[in-house]
Amino acid sequence: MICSKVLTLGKVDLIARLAQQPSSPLCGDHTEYFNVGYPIGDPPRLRGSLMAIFSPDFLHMNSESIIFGSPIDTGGIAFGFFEIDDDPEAIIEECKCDGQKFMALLSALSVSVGPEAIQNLYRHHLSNEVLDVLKVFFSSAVIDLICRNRANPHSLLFEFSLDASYALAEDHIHKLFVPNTLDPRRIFPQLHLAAPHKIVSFNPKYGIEHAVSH
Amino acid sequence: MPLAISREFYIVGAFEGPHIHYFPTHLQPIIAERTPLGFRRWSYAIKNPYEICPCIPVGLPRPLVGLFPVRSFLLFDTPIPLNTRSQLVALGPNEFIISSSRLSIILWLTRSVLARFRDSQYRKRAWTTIWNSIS
Repeated sequence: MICSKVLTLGKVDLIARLAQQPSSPLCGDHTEYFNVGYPIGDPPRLRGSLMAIFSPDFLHMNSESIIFGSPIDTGGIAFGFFEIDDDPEAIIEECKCDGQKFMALLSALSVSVGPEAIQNLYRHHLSNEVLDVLKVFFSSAVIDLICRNRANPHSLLFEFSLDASYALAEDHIHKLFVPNTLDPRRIFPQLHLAAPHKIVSFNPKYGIEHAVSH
Repeated sequence: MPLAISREFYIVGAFEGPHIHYFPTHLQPIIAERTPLGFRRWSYAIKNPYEICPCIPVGLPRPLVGLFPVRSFLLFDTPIPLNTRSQLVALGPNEFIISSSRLSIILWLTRSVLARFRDSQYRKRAWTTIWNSIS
């Protein structure tokens, strides 16, 4: 499945990896968060200067670097994006699963769910087909929270975090959206040389959602 | 998506970290509502022709410095009242224009180019930013 991340230039480690400079001194020991599908849009909840869309290979190649995965945005639970009666920390722990379970969940979705439901999942819209698979993997408390927040895209973010050992090759980058004031030849010279069609520039006044829709 | 006109919205920062180095450029503003309990961040749509439309509150009211779990974005010392046509342009790491007047933005950009005339990359980006501001 494809995955993505909205980022700023402050993400120096990820920027260096996108620039295919893994030995750069900028690279540090950082955990990085991604989500399956596209970033939340219409409207975006979190904005940034750049957006990266990764090919399915990125997640498959780095499955052993997954620290945890979760169908619900765990940061959103902690930060009050949901109305929760129970202890937020307890529900976060129920949402989280290890890399093996997360990959098994994604495999089950790939096998049992139709292409339309997968596209809905990429846009963080719940379908009954996806819900049926989720019920196999998660407790009723998690399923209940997802169902009560169907209109909230954070309830189906499918986030995962990778430890610093993850690899990011040029093949893993499907598209990289950059503001038209940033010269990709200077920031991402190797990617620009190898696959210039993967770099899409946009007017930063209008934001990433316009870059994707045009 | 309804525009919450009656609320008191401010531009409280920008969705970029301190590592930005490609000035001048437009940045995405962070929009928050001032409430008696603090600032509450709102997600917003950007329409074309350019207009910022606050849509959905995100999280609970908090002190300005607590709007995000991790302090990775630029936050302004003084929040600026939002005009829905406000554009946010960074001229330097601590130099921002927030204006709804395209003419004013162009004049500020021209002035900044004159001050940095030897910087050809800055000149190039300034022309792009002027074009962006009127597009």
